[in-house]
Amino acid sequence: MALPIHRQFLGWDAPPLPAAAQALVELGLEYSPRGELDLARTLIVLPGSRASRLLLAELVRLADERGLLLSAPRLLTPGPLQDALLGLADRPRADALLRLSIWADAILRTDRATLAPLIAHPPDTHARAAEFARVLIRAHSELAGHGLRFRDAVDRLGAVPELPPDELPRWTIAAGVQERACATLGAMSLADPEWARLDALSRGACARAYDLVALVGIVDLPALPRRLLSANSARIVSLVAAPAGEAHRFDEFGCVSARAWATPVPGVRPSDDSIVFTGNPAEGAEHAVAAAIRCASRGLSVAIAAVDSGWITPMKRALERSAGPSAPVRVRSAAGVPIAHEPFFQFVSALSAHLIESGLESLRALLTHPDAADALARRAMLAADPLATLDRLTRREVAPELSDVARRHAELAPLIAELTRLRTDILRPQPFHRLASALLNAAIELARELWTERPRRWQEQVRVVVDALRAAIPAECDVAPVPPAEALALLVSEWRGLALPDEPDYAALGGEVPDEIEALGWLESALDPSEALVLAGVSEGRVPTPVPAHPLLTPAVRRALALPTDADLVARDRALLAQMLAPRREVVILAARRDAEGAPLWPSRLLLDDDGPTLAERVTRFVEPRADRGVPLVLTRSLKAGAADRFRIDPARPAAESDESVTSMRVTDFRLYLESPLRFYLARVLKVEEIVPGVRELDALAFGTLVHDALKGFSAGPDRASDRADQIAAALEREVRRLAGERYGTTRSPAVRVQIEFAAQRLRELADWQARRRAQGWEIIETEWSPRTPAALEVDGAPMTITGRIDRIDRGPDGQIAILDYKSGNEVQPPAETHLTKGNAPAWMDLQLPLYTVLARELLPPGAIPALGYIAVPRQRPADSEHLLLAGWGAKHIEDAIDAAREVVRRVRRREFTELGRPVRAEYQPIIAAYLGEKFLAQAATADSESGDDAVAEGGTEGGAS
Amino acid sequence: MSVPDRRSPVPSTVILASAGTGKTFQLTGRFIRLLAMGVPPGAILATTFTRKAAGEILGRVLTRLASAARDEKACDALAHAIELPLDRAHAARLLRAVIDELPRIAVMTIDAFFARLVAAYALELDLPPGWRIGDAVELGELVDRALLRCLDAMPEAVRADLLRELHEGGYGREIVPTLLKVRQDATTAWRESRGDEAVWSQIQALHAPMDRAQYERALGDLLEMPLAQTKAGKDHAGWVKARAKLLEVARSQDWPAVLKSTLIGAVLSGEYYKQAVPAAALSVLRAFGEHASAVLTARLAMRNRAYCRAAGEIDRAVAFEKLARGVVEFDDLPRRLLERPFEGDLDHLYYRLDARLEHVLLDEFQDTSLDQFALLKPLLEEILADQEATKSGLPRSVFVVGDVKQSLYQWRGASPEILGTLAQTLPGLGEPRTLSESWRSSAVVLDTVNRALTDVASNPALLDSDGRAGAGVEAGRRWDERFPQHVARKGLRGSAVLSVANSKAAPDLVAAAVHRASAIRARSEHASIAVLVRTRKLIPWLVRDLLAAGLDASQEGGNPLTDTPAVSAFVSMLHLADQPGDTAAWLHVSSTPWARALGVFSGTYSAHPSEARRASEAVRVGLACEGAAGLLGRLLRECAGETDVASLRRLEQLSQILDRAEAAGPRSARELVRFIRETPVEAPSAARVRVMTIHQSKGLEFDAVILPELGAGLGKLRGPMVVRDGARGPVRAVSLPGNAELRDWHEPLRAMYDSARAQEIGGELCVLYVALTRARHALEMIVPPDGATGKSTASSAAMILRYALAPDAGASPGAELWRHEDSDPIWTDEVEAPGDVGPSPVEVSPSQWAQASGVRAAVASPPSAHERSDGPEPILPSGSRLRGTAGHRLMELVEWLDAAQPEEREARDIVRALGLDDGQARELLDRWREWIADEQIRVTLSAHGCAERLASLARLTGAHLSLSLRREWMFATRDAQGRIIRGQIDRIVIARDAGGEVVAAEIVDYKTDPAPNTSVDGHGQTTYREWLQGRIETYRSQMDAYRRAASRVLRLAPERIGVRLLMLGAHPGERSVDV
Ligand code: SF4
Repeated sequence: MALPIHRQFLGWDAPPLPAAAQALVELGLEYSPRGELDLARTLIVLPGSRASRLLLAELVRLADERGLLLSAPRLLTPGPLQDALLGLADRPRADALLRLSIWADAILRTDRATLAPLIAHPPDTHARAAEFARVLIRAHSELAGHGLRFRDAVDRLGAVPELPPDELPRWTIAAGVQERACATLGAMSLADPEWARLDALSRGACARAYDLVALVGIVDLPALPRRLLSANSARIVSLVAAPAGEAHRFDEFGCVSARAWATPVPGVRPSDDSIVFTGNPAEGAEHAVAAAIRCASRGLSVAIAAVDSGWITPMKRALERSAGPSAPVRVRSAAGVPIAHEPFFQFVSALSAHLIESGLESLRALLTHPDAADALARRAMLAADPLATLDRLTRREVAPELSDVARRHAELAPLIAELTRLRTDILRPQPFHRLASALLNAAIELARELWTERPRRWQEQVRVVVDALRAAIPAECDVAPVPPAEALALLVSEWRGLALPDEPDYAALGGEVPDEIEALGWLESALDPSEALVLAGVSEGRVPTPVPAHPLLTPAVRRALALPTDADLVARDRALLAQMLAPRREVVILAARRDAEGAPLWPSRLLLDDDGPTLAERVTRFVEPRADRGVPLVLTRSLKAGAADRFRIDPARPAAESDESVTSMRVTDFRLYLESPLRFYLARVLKVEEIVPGVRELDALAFGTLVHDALKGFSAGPDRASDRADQIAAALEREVRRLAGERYGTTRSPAVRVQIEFAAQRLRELADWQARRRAQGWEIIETEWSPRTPAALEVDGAPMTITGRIDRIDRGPDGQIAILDYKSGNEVQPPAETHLTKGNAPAWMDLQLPLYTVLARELLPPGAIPALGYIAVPRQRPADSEHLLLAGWGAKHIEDAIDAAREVVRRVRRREFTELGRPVRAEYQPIIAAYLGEKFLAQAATADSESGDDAVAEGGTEGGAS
Repeated sequence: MSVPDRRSPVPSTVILASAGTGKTFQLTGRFIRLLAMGVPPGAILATTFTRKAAGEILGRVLTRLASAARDEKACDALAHAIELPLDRAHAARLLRAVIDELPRIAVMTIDAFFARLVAAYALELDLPPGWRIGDAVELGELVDRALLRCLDAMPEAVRADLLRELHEGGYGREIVPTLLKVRQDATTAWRESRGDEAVWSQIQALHAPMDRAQYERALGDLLEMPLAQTKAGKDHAGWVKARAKLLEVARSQDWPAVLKSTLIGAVLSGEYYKQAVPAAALSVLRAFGEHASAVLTARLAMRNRAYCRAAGEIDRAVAFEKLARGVVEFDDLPRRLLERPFEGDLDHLYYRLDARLEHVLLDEFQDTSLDQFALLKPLLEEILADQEATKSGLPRSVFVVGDVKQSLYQWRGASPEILGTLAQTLPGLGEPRTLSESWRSSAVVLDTVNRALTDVASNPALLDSDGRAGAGVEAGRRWDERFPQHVARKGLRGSAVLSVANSKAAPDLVAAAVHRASAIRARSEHASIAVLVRTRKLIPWLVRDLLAAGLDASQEGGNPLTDTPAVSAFVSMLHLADQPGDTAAWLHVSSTPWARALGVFSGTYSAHPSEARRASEAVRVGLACEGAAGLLGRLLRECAGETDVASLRRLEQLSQILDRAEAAGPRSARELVRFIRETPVEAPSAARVRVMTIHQSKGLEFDAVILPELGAGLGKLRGPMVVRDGARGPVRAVSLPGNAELRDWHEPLRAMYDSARAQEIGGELCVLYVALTRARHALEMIVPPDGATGKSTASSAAMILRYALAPDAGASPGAELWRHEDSDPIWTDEVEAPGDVGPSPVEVSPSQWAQASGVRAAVASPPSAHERSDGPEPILPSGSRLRGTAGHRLMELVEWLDAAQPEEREARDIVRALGLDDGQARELLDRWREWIADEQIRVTLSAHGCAERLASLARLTGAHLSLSLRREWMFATRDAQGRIIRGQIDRIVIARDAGGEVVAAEIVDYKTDPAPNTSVDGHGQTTYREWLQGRIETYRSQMDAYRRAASRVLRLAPERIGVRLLMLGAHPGERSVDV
């Protein structure tokens, strides 16, 4: 029969863990043969894993010291305690993922009308149902910890008259879902962990026999483990981190008595000196690390209680900034680091994302992972860098299907085939555990492609991740409850929650392992053996730990079901704080005034547990930084800024000027030069090109090319001589659809499909005009024409080669020649407006059409002035259906233009490239705009203030600050 | 005994508080008064609009109570302010009460309040239950996806028609941008109109268009129309030309051009070339005007309907994406809450909130949107209707404070009219009280404000460009109704100057501002100076030039970090990571020190892709292995010396936001790029010259304010115009603005336009008001000079100020136009020196770290069995894990096979507990029986055999050894580096000699790996033998580790410890392996 629990008080003279170890050795010896410390049948419960490790280390030390053969005890945190006591640890359990999916299924299987009072908008997909399932499972777990099923809650709540009438129906529905889910699990011979405990308990099971169960520094225990402990035949000891004088503040399990801890222990309150208020978490984090180092420099052992885990990364960064990789000490997160930060996990995650999406963007995302790119390239035996191929592809194609990419880009075909093979292999209806193994095996296989050539450090990282994922493969059973893509997404998002031990990069350190400052969680800090403790981020909302809000577990329901309330948690955390403060030689408590995003924070109430003047002073100190006389600590900076910012570059003087001289110019280059010599230089001399990712539709160039090419196909085809509008329209439409099919046939972008349709419509509208023109006797004599021998413009005795292609040349009934350019912009301006500035003294801004006369010299009778103009294929049918926009320039105009061209050539030859002229639009070419930097800024600001195009919606981002 | 006062001691009230009149003081005073009268802190709701402002309110409550608790004088002042007796002890008690209730205190943003409601009703609203507020970047991506989804979902024909209609009947190329624009411009209007297409169809043609025949006839009429005559009796040449032009456009049916025609314009004014239009001509021309306007109105109507439909489709698609991703925007919260009305059900709400709201204090009420008010209204009405005393003895109350004149957020839905008409909407609130005594500004500043913003309706700057009294005057009229004369409470000195920049170009505006700031700084070392601008664009530039002028300047309120060249180059580097072929990005990177720090740069930019590719790969490797902030840190160590102090500070901030972005896991380079470009980050410093937008300056004050950007035109409309029934009633009509000529022919459209524009201009007057009232002492207003044509006729803040302050002066470049007659340059004497900034920081060097003893506890686990020389083991086929566990459990039943057979019953229990089905269980038990019958295994697990082996290990053959057997033995010890090693060994037998000394031990480890199916003699299959060898090799390192660990625990030389693998899946005779 159960013995009464023995409480042993460890005192506050020193950190309690060594004393606890000592006490456990004495107890353990009672059960051990001579010469041994046999703790094999001892179960020790501690609040955190670091405390476990340190206690074990202390036991090893004590055993060594006494020459005892140690058999290690079982060490647990309170979570798994219940199962250990019930002997349930080995039973196959529905792990989180399976359980989630089955609860989601139970929700989906409940009819909408029934569900409505609980869930007003019942979900219709598994993924959405899973979200609701998460909410219900949270309540399920908490209630089960107190030995309750939802049905029990219904019974108890029924007896509480002051609850609103809709409360009970909600719980009844929830109970229905709960029962259905657990029944499903039962039918699979699997146990819901919570349910299994309740079952085991009602069966009176109490499997595992221990000699001794020791609770060390456990401040709270839910009802269920209490009942289990009381029923257990083992001897139960609670080692309490407090002096015997405070015994009245602890209950029979040695846990905190909420009533007794409603008030602080006099004399064990944070002192003014120990409290530091800082601006934001980054400053606070730096102070925390500096304070820890200062403690250590005085010979004290030290740890950090990272009350706000958001401070840990800033602490690491502060040290890195200060001392670089060779810091003598590092910050170690006791909670571990998210697996999501591990490169190999990113690989697994990108692989699964691609298997799900199977599109060009997901492929690109996968290939940006260096391991993925290398391993896949190896596997598919690719010669070229696949990302570079994708870059080239992005310029021409919009969201094509991968099958199409494979067909058109032979160099990518094996890669896509390999991924398709993986996809069919993995993404099929199969149970979670098989899906997980298949995905992981695929990743492992790919990793093994690279294994021998990668450094040890990489191998180590892969091993750690593989082990963690292997351990997290769901339980085995034979049902595949979810569509494969959703299942894979759920699986990876579940995996994403895993944490890995925060180990230093041993391989990179070359054996020189740095010391560590452990950053602990709140619950485990009280028991830590360090002499000095830095509490980081002690803000209201973190400590006292708030009771998490839950739509079913309203405060009134919590009270009715006797679940822990705010008051319980305040008492517990007050006790923990006392345990942190009392036995330490030094304590530093840090609270920030603002969070990382600048929103105000308040210090924890526990720091304001005083009355009268101390309270008022402390509040004033916090709210008014000027009243704060606290000295901020900072780490010395190893990074020092220089005198000048060398990132401030002169875009007109790039890292290297090309001294290549320009020997040939396209007819369109002149406009670019006239617009912006600097951009001409970048584009034509340095041949710089910007790639805009994530294109969703055809840009002006691609759209224009499609229209051009369709017209070209028509002009070269048999229908060119037709004067029948319907025939022409049909021919144009055929051509544009053929081309579009070739180029964008399998595009996933619906926008492109609309664009193709619109291109066809525009061409149809052009057909009328073309028919009329033909009827007037004009015939198309050339399309896409360029001179057989390069044309040249003589400038100051030296020729400049002029290149270009003329869209179309027509011959009129009287033999006149018209040189025409297709324009497919939304609005098409007449040539006079595009080529010349407005005003009294117009200047040339484009020279394309006049330069055609140079280009086409060989075609033209000497001295003849051809008609120059545009054929507009605009958004809107021109008002008079006149698609031809002629320039109407005479010889003098043209000569003037050629002179202007000569002047451009001269300036190009003189390398006059520094002037920016008109800047680019930052939204179209953000990288070029960034490169142009302030030059761009100045020009853009001027341009804007002139056009008066102000952003009226200013303050937009500030607005969301609430 | 006195007659009890029938009035409530805390009557519900509305306060209209002009700038600087102590709004927060009033509100916090009210809060404290309620506390002092015994109201529990949790029963008070106080809302405002930014988290910062909410923090300030609670901060003020706390400090006022804290100083009262500490100091008699402060206590008296507080007692006076709250009009209640108060002593220090009482103040201390109130402070204690507030602190104890901190988590329940509802001083929060209105968004946070709604979020709390939503959380309480998480399962009842059409929101994902685990919702979170999405950041700008993910919302942007989400909208992109939604647009494509929405296009995809539409039937092809519908889609094409809709887009054509959005493009005014044309085939516009841009599809996604067009939809994005619809979303940006029209979503609010669509929601407010509840998606009712009828509301969007209110603008219709006023006349029927002519049919073809009528039109032909009209063209004929036009040809024959009588024209105005010269004195000589000839047709007026101007008329002739104009008619020809009109004929041309009329024939080609270019309707906008028809309406633009000067002759058609003349119809409306009735004259042309100062001659009356002949009556006969009038009717001919009018027919054209009416026809063109009818056609164009029809097009506009089509476009309006298309906008409505598109906005609806997009809104649904976005909502779907949000739901699928569990993301919401703050705007969604009130909308979803409104779908579940709370009227009459407030008790339920109080139950869910676990707090009955007794008193509500609403700050900045002018910024409340209609949705927000719709939610608040039932609550306010309930409180006003319920005048029973509560537990504290007080009836419940409502307190509203705001200023219609400071309404800067109309563009995102704020409706200041709610405040303007609150007294009518909620009669229980009584008439508003107006506060116009400023505690902030000098008389000169306030007088300038009064002069500039009194009788705005008569300010010529607000006339339409054609000189008519239109929208601007209407806006002015409304403004004048709300504008009280401001009075200075403090006798501060001040100055106010209106001066002219050298040109309207940005560089000159910047130069003028820098010049003014320098002049002020020259006179006062400490004066705080703000340069307030309307748009963000000028900010980085202003800061740079201010710094260059030797002023300590900082930007405020946050620009994206890309304002710093090093950050912007870092962004290009991230871009390069994903796009190795982007030579522009490489050019940018290679022009900066980053390239060298990356370690791949030859020193000369080259367009050849190989170098860019190597750089790209280096960045990708860095991102994957170190994360973005890690990569940044490493690169920065290489080149920190090439930054300056300000830049390095910005780079540290970059590191912080990158860590924030990647807290939950790494993000793609593309997302990071977007995140950096779109996240505003304040550059905090103690600088005394601060540059920010006027919006950002709200709630702040400065000794001097410089306004260099006053020249922008007023009243530009974005998106559709909305007409309501009354100021806040349901939306009656929505339409796009159309163009000016059409509006001339369409009175209802014009009226809509004027009213929308009046509202827009009203908002801009607020901006001007806020800008002017930030100043304590001095105002420097800088306006652009007159253009070539003299005074601008466009409305702008600059022109308003000029007409109000210096109506007659022409603005020549660089001139001073006006100076307030009481301007006193020695206002600078009154500037308070900034208090001392607190103790300066103490530096701690990491090298001071001294290893503290005893606390390190690195734990190494023995190497896992999964390691191989060529990478990790693949996962075994399903089912084997469970069988493996079961196999282990069963074997652990074995004690000594030569002593006793293990119990079948226990074995069956084990198998059952594991949940194996009958078939599996039977198979497993059969195998187990086979194992324990296996000769080799029997020898291994027999006491006899074991004793012999141990004796030989101990080199004590023949001696009597006592054996002790441990199964699932947990060990713990230290390794050579002092780390703790722990683990579990399946089976260990420890041998002691007669003296009890441990002399040898044997470890047995069970392995259940199934042998490959060798009956399939496939090519490339591992043969059985290779498999067995491979397994043994794989497990060897694990076994070595066990041996080492046991050696330490048992204090026994390793060679005295035997290790055996029992390969249960191997062929009989090959199962017990000595390693
Ligand atoms: S069979 Fe698959 S889906 Fe079903 S429970 Fe097992 S692991 Fe989950």
